[in-house]
Amino acid sequence: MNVAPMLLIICRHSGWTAQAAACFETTLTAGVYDQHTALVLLEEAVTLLFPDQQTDAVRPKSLAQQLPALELYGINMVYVDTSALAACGLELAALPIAVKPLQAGELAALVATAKHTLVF
Amino acid sequence: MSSFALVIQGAPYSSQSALTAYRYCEAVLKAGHNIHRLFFYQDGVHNASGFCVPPQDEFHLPRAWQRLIQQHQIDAVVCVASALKRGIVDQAETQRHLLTGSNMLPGFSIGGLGLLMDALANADRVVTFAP
Repeated sequence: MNVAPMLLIICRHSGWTAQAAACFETTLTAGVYDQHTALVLLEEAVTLLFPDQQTDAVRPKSLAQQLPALELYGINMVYVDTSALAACGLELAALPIAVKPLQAGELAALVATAKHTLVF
Repeated sequence: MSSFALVIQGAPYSSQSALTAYRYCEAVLKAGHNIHRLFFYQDGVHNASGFCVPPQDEFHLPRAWQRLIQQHQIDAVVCVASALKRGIVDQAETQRHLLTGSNMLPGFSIGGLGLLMDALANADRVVTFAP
């Protein structure tokens, strides 16, 4: 049975921003506190999923390397905006973690099932 | 009566989000509801700065927050990691990190993300104000 997520966390910012880092930190903290959590990557946030990111030369820590931590923290529901994926030339099959595709219009239903929504 | 938690992510004067959050908070209280917690996160921690000096004919948002918080005895938490990164410190953090002075307004307190999780667990509604 698919249980409705209690906490929905939405990220709209690219993977190299402070907002994305805060979103990721909050998501992992929610996992620590056993919150039933779903993460949604919208718009530029899908850049988090680019494979083989090397950000050493430009300083910001790449969150991409931390993606496998989501599962370890019990975050198994990661939704991705399919139109943003297409805009970035990313394909579902090539992503570094398992995600659920989110079609246009499905976000509203997801928000409606969540107890709380945090937007970054 | 419902209990609300507000997550404020915008700095005063940089975007509309902090002022909107303040006005929303006022409206919630005026309607007879309860504010379970204010959580100032990311650039939102600047709302707790005692070093803001806006022009005299402009709204002093940090002091307005302070008045509202003290008047209604609201739990106002400033995220510790966000605050330290941005130079917002209370006296305890000033001593801990051997800094020259503190700048956090009285009424605000420093805390971790666990308090945000607590707010998510206990408030009826959580509203995010992001720039």
